[in-house]
Amino acid sequence: MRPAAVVASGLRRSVGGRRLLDGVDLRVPVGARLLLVSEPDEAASLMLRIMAGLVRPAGGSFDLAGVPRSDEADAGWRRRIGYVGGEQGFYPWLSPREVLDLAGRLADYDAAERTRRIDAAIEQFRLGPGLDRPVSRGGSPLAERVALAAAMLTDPEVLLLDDPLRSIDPAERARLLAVPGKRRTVVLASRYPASEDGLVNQVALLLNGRLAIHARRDDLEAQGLPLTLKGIASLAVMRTQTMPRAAGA
Amino acid sequence: MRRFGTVTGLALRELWISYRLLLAVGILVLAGLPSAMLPHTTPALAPTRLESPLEWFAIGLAVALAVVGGMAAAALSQERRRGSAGWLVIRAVPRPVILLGWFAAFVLLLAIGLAPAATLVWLTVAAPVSDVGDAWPFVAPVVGAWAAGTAAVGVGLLLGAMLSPWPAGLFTVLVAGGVLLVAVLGAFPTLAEAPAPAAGLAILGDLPNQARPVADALRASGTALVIAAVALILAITALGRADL
Repeated sequence: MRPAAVVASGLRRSVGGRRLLDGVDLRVPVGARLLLVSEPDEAASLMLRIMAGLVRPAGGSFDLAGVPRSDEADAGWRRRIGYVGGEQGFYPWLSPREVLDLAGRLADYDAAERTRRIDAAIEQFRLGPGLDRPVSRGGSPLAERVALAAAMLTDPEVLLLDDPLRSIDPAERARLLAVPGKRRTVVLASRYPASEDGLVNQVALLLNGRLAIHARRDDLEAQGLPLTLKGIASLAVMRTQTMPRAAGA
Repeated sequence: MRRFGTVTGLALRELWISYRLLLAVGILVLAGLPSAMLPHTTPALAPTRLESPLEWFAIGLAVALAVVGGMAAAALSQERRRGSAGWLVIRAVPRPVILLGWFAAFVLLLAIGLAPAATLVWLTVAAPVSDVGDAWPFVAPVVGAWAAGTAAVGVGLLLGAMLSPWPAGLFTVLVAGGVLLVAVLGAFPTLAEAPAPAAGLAILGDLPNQARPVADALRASGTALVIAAVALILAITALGRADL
């Protein structure tokens, strides 16, 4: 069995009286690209926010990159985790260069290392135009690029993406999200699973607060099912139907 | 410490760019204007209530400090809502550091606004009612007012860690404004002698009649700073439990 980069056990959390996570167990191997979908939609996003340290779980535990969460003050550990959420978070009056510089300083890189990483990010995420103007002037597409670039600045081992880059055209979005690195683990929560085709090699579905299925992307294809919420749910149903039969046999 | 400096710098820049820094400093300076424009009285004439320019200064400060407290509440709440606090937490900035950074920014802002306001009032009003050349009986209550302002900011940050921006800001203005105005308009001079956090303002408003303005004002400052510290500890606890 490959070592796991993300291990969640018994995660629980309610929001507004609704139990969105009701004891979720999930194990994502190193190097996997996992598409996480949920019904209701907010559950997958909530799970990523918990793992990023933004929301406290009501119960359960999780490890990221082999280290139990969480020491908010540990920059060394934090370098290994990247998170991009629906809100960009950084101040819109900062320029892309300032955002990257701030992210580099908070990761404790020295000036030379910061410059090297920022230059690489500018090239990879095509931030050249408007590099020194406030991010707000570039609109949502620029803000989303900068958010991803800042998350990738530390070359994280685990990248948590919560429905990212929705303002960017699909081809460019696919290019940006196809982050390199064989040992990098990506967990991508999405409300539009079909748009993530080609970016993931595993799928997981949270249904009513529980993990309904965690399968390979190929398993869907083998059953002729599409990469949609309905398709993944159908695979989950097929699995539950075959398991008792197998057990009976 | 480096992260604390970074957060304080970001907070000050955010306040500057959104014009809130100018607004807060402007309100504090404006608090000094009515007292400078009122007809001057001398101690011998024994001004009645609300005729004393210093009392108007204290009233103006009470309102201004409450407004700054409300701004602090709304600012922290907004940081939580729009994800700026979360962006920093993801990058290894502890939540207490975020809170203390914003507190430092507002405490600095209070000092920046109070200094010109107090200087204006000293030059136009206070110098004649104090022993000329001895500014301490005036400076000590102004420090007391600043300390009361830090308590208002602390309470604001506590509410900002729990509520959404408008309710947090409004509630802080009402609570802090109520307490500070009662101190100035209500029970003085008895309140001025009590170790109440807002007593600095009461002493400032009734300065000519104070027997020990420096000692009482410093005692009031200490109480106000303790209130600020307690509010900050509670705010840190609340922010630690909050979803970002």
